[in-house]
Amino acid sequence: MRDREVLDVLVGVGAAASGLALGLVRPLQRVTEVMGAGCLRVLRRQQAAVQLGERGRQVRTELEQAVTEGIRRVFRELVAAALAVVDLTELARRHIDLNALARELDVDAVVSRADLDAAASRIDVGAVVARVDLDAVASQIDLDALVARVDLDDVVTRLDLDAAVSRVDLDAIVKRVDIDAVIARVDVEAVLARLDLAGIAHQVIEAIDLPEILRESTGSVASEAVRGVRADGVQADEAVARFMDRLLRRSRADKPALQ
Amino acid sequence: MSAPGGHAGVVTRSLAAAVDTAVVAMAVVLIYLGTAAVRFALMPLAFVWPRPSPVFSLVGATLVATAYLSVAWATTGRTYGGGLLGLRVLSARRGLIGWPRAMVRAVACVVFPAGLLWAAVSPTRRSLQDLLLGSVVVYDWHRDRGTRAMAPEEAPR
Repeated sequence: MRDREVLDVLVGVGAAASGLALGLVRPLQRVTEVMGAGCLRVLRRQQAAVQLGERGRQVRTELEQAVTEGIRRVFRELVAAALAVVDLTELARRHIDLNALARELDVDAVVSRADLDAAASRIDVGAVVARVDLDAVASQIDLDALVARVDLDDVVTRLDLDAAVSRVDLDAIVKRVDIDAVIARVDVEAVLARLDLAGIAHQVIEAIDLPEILRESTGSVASEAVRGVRADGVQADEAVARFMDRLLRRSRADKPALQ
Repeated sequence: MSAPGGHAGVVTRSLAAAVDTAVVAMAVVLIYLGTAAVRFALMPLAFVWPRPSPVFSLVGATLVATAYLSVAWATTGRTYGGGLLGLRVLSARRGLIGWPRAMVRAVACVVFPAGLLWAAVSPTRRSLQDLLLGSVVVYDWHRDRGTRAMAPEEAPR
């Protein structure tokens, strides 16, 4: 504390001296008078040290502010001049290990802070797509490899084929089919040439057993007539037997069993 | 209408006999034509129609008829006429009468066909040949070679 007071006194002296130096332009008489009168009055009075300390404190504060402001100004000028000369981008590229910095970046934290929805809403998707050369992209895709990786069996098992088929309007599809054109393209001669018509005919005849059918058909017609003749014969036999019984006065109860 | 299964009467048996007579007549005619054909083939220039004597013809027809009836009755119990009218000749025990009885019955029927008329008089509808040989003639409308007719327990009245 005492040192500060001493310093302030010295600074006050310095300031006074500098005020004298700076006031060279003032009339020498006035300077001499003021200095002489001031110094004499200050020195003569007991509170001169206190006043000098107060004065010194003010001047020190002003000096500190002036120095600070000067330093700032000088520094700004220096930085501006330096930046005008130095290419900061090139400097950073040359001396900063960007990969190391990137490795230490917490990308997850960055992404979590980012409003991706807002960012996406600002994207003109149409313009982006318009700039994409889809043909070139598609030409680079190995569709065979993609399809080879697809488990078609699994896909098909998940499909509800019944529901799919039920939605198909088969009638409408069939109506659009030109049956005549389809038939016109069929090579009937080639189809017939591949068929073993003789073999098929043999199999059909063997399966039908034509002789048996002929036998049954003719036999059924003949058997009807034969059954009629037989039935009439039986009735005639009965009639003759009854007539003979009456003729011989023989009761039918008297007849022995015919078997 | 099913076969009665009982003894056949004189009407059906007479009709069957008539059919068999026609069959024998046709067989005799065929034999005659066959003989003529053979003679024509052997002697075409000297061919004349065969003129067998009446006795020869009668004996021949008798032999043909006897053979025809014997074979039919011994093997199946029915001739063509019997089959047509649904008749079958069996023994009293409902079996085939066998070759000896079939041959004797055939001769008896050919020599004395009038014996059939006794079936009209007989209370058991048996002809004289039946009475002589112990045979019966039954209705059998089935085409099973006499299996049902020859089974006494299944024979209906």
